[in-house]
Amino acid sequence: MLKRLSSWLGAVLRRDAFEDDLDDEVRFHVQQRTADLIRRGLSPAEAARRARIAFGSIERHKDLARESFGLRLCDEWRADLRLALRRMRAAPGYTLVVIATLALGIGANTAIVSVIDAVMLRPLPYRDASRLVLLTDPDDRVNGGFLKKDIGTVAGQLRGFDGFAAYYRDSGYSRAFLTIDGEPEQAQGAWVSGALFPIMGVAPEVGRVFGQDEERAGTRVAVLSHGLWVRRFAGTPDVLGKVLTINGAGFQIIGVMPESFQFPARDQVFWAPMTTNPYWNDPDLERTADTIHTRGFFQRWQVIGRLRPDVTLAQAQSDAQAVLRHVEQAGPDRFRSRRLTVEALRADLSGRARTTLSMLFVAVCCVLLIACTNVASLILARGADRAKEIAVRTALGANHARVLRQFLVEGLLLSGCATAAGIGLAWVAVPLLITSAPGDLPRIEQAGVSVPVLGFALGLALVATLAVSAGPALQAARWRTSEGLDLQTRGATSSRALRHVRGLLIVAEFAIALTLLMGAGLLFRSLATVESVDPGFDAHPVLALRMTVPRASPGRLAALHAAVLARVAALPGVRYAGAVNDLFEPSAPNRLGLRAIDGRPVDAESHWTALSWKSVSGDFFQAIGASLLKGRYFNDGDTAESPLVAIIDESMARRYWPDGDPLGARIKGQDPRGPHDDWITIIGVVRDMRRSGLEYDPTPHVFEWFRQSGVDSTENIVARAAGDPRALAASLRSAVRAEDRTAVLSGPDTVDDLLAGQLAPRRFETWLLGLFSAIALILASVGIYGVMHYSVSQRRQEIGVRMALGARPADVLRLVEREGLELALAGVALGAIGAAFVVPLMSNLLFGIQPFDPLTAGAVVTALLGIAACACYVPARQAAHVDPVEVLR
Amino acid sequence: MAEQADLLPGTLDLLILKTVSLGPLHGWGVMLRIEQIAGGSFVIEEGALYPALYRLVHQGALAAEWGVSDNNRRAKFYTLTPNGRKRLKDETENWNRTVAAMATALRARPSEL
Repeated sequence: MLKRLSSWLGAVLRRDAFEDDLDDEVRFHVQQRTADLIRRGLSPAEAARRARIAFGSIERHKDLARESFGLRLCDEWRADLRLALRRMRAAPGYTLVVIATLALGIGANTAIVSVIDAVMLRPLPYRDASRLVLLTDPDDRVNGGFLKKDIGTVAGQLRGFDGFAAYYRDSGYSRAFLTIDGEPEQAQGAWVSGALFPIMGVAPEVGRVFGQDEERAGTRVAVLSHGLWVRRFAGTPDVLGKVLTINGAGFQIIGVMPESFQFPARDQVFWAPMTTNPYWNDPDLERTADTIHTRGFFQRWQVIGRLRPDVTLAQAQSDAQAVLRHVEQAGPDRFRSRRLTVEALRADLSGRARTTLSMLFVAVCCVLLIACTNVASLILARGADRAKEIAVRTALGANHARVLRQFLVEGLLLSGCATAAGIGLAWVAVPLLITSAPGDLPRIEQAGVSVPVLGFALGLALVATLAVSAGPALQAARWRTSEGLDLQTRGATSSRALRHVRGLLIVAEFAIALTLLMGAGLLFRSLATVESVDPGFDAHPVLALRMTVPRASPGRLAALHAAVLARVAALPGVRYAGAVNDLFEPSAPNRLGLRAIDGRPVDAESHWTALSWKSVSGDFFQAIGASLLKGRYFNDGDTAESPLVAIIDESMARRYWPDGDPLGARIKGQDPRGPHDDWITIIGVVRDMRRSGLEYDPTPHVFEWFRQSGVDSTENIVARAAGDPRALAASLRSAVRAEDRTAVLSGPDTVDDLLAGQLAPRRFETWLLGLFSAIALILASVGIYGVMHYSVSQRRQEIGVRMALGARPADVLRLVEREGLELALAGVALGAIGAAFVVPLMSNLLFGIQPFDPLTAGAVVTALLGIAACACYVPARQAAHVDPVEVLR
Repeated sequence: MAEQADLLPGTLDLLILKTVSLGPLHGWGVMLRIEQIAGGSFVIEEGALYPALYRLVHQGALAAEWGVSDNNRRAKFYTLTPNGRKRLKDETENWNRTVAAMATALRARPSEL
């Protein structure tokens, strides 16, 4: 076996020597026979002739000799390759179109798949990540979790876990002030159990991590994120032992985590033991643990665990539920979650992001399908030219397999070039995708043409090869007979069959294009609808600046804010200035209700829906451009001593006073206000302000006056500019700095910019789908143009006859146009059926529009038919200009 | 022409192995010796020798080397390898067995069945 391989290899590599040898040997033999025959008395000429006859066909025996060395296959492949290359060079335009079309399809697919691979498919970078599970409250995923006091007890009682760690989900309480070399910065930190790092199984990049000992002792140590290390500590190893000041306390830096470790969120800059969180042991919070104000803190400890190898998810879940019930019985607490689920740790991807990615994947697959169809159609048409060639080759002895192999080699060559070009295209496109992607796709920065993605691209290459070779291969079967030789001369019958097939392909293309265009159309209209939603305030000339001061005393904070607001309001170019404690809402606000309404019962806790209390100062409403519907805004008459007042918005009014007038009503919130838990009177109603995204229903709000609400600081300063807000930015910053040098400032940004960021995911998916639909449409129209062009060129005689019999050019034009439109219409009809199944799958991406919106459908169909008509126009005109005399000659 | 027996497939290989076993030969030499040994009852197309020779070399039964023929011409000489020697022995035994079996079978008379 090995001997054969080495002998074959030797012959292949030194082919020339092999050929020379063979030639010499054969020549020698014939010469010897000739000499022998001459010795026997024949004339030299006769001897030579007899010798050659006796030898037999030299070339044939040489061929057989080559075959016995295993060289025949090699030679045949080489011949096929040479022929394929020659054909490609002979028709450069056609080759280019085929390669470009396939490259587009393959490239788009590869780019999207690399994103999906990085974001959804790659296993999480933790040790044995499939065993990691989250314990969450299914009724309140964002805010629900474990009570602080439960963490210890539950941990002790859960079985089936190899480890159990609590961590604090990012929120206001995990925001920390860092001071590094005197420079303040505000960032998110992760406060976690000491058990977290062993559970996740990721080693630090530098130094070490902390464990349960440090957690128990409350030792102030911190592990940095890679980003912070590089950004503020120059990425040098001597960061170990340095001190990081968090909220005024010094934490010793003991290690740095690698960039890929993004748990529990993407943007935390450090990990510290949860017992060192300043709120953990805050006696004030312990005392007021009953209040809604702090409820969030205690409920927000999330838990991650590592399942034992032999424990299933279901077992762990029932166990956890049982433990929860037990703990609840032992000591009921109204803030404890009622239910617990145990679910596998998955990529931190929202359902919406998943739908988007799936939709984009389907879209690029459709584009690839259309590209392959176009190419197959093109090749089929060109294939007819080869009928004669195939017939002749078959007559000369080529068998069916040989002919098919030729097509396969051509197909491989074309799709090989197309795949290389496609991968190059993806390489360029992926960074573009990364920069334009919205923030809700985790790990997208890791997208790239990796090995699995390359494998996928090669799989696509195979599909493309099949598309390219299948048609000719099927046609070849018929050409091998003498029919093939006739084909060039007569052409009518079989080319009709060919036109039918190509027509069917066009119908398929238009069907796919319709589905894509429908999806894109719906998304564009959704985007337009969202953009036209009235935010409820006029954000255009508004600047927002967030000012946070490392823990200062409440008195100092209040004075600071008052001073800053006064300064800002006094700036030339500022019409109004105000502040609020939170400018934007989280996407899932707390469910809350009123504690009491004077003169009526309130809704029970089980009926609570989203509700938000905010504190404002200054001329907040005027600054942000709100609309006052009833009553009045706050003014200087409202102080800490005057009667408690509040302003509500429309949604709040509708919720509690659907039929009446809320003005003058008196309410109490969950937390007491005033020295004697006084009633709060409603003095005004404003229009809803959609500050958390134009797509979401506005959260009902109660706005309190900062002097009365007890909130430390209204950090978000909002200034309404008389002219261009950007011109104010610098003076705004310096006004704030003039009051306090140590404050951490974030901004100023125009509120317009901040709002635009909320629309980023929708814009991303809409424009991408639009791009793919446009590509599909262009490909489909090129396809139909090609088919009609071919059809006309094949039917010139028929057209000539028609014209000779009295048809006018206009009639011929109409005829061709109608045929083209029939194809397009059939495609549209088929596509409509397909779209009816596919489009509802993207319902959760739509806003304000139904999947079967007739206006969009009508527009899309009209556009498709219109483009089809235009694409057919040129061939139709050519048909109309056929000269019957010339054609019928 | 005298009656010619068709060469069964594989028998040419055996013949070549046999002739080469008697001493290194070039292709023409093999031709001559086959004519000698077989006494003219086989006539093969001369060119058919070469595919067979090449096949035997590829399979490792023969070794080929360039040398000089008696009339001072450059020629490729074939010799038997140990592999080839074994193969000659095995196939000769096979052949004899087949022939004997066939002879017995062909002698059979209706009464013996």
